[in-house]
Amino acid sequence: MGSNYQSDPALIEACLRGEQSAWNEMIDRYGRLVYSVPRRCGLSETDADDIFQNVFAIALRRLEQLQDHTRLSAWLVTTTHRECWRHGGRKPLEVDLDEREIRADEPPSDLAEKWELQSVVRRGLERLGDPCKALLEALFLKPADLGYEEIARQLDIKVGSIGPTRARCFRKFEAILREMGIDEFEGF
Amino acid sequence: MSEQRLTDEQILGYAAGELTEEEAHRVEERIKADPKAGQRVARVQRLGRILATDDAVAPPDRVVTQAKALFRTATAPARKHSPWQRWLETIDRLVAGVVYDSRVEPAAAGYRRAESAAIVTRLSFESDLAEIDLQLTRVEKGGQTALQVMGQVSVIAADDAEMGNFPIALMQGGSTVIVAEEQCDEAGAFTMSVPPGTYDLALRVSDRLIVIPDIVIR
Repeated sequence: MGSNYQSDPALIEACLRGEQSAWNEMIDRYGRLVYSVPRRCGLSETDADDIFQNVFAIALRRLEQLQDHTRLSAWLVTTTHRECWRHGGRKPLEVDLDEREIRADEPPSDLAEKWELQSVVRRGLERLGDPCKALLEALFLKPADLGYEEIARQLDIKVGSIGPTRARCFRKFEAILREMGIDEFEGF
Repeated sequence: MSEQRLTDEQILGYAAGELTEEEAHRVEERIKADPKAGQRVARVQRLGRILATDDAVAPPDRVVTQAKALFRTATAPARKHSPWQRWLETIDRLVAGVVYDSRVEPAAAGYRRAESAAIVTRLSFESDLAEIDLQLTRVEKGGQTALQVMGQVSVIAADDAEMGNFPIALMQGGSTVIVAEEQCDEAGAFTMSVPPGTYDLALRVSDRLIVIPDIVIR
């Protein structure tokens, strides 16, 4: 469980200093979130690919002007949603960097917040690493009818160890999320 | 049991609906007696729902690689022998406005799909000094996307010496980072290939710079 997690403001500052690794981390951190917006809007994989590139190209050239560095994920969701809107052939709209003054069509705020939180939690799961990641994925992300026997077989562990291991892994997972600044899960 | 603190195993088992009726009842009695236990159970249940309802899709690896490469292009040092940095800073510039976009008027666009699944977009721009016509061709081959920008510059009211051979560059949108540069031929035609993105096009005619901002190439 490393302690090298950078907050979004720190990540942005590192990007502005020219650190490629920070940019890579930003894409790894928010790539799923950004890519999923056009897919959820019903756009094709090809369209989603294009929108993904456009959004991060926009982010790259406007990072310096982003007013609130703690709202990066919200800005990415709104920008992506706007690119989906433009991609649909509608009139291009002004892209306003101030999140408070965005006038264009946006996703419902509660939906955007849900997606952002899920993105961060999923990122926390990635940081957890195997074998805990594999176990929690099997228990929470895989089809509900996957019984303990099948999970134990797939992960090569004893059925009787699943309960205690789940508890231990879950505690580690929560600790990682707290380190990432996520302690509340309102809205779920 | 009701006086003992709930373990994480019990809480997770309760949240997953795995306990027997008797065990679940004892957990619920404990929750009633200890609000913190209730908060813990609720938190575990919420985190479980976050994971279980996550329908996000991961981007393909090649798309991620391409996006990461944007940074290298943007932060690359200015090309030593390119005069563009000086031109961009010092000479007079005009902004050309769009007069035609085949994506907005598809009926008149003449979209065609070649055997290699090429998608063609036509754009026309006008400034006081020149007209610029662009044809953007997107070709999908073996899962890779290639974008070709073919252009024609027509200078307005210029002598024969200024009909062609203009330096032209595509810069990352909103920046002075040059992604591709060419020289038009004697007739003002040029061709460049770039990855998908948003670009500013700059064209030097005489001592003036014509700029077309925010060209979405995809």
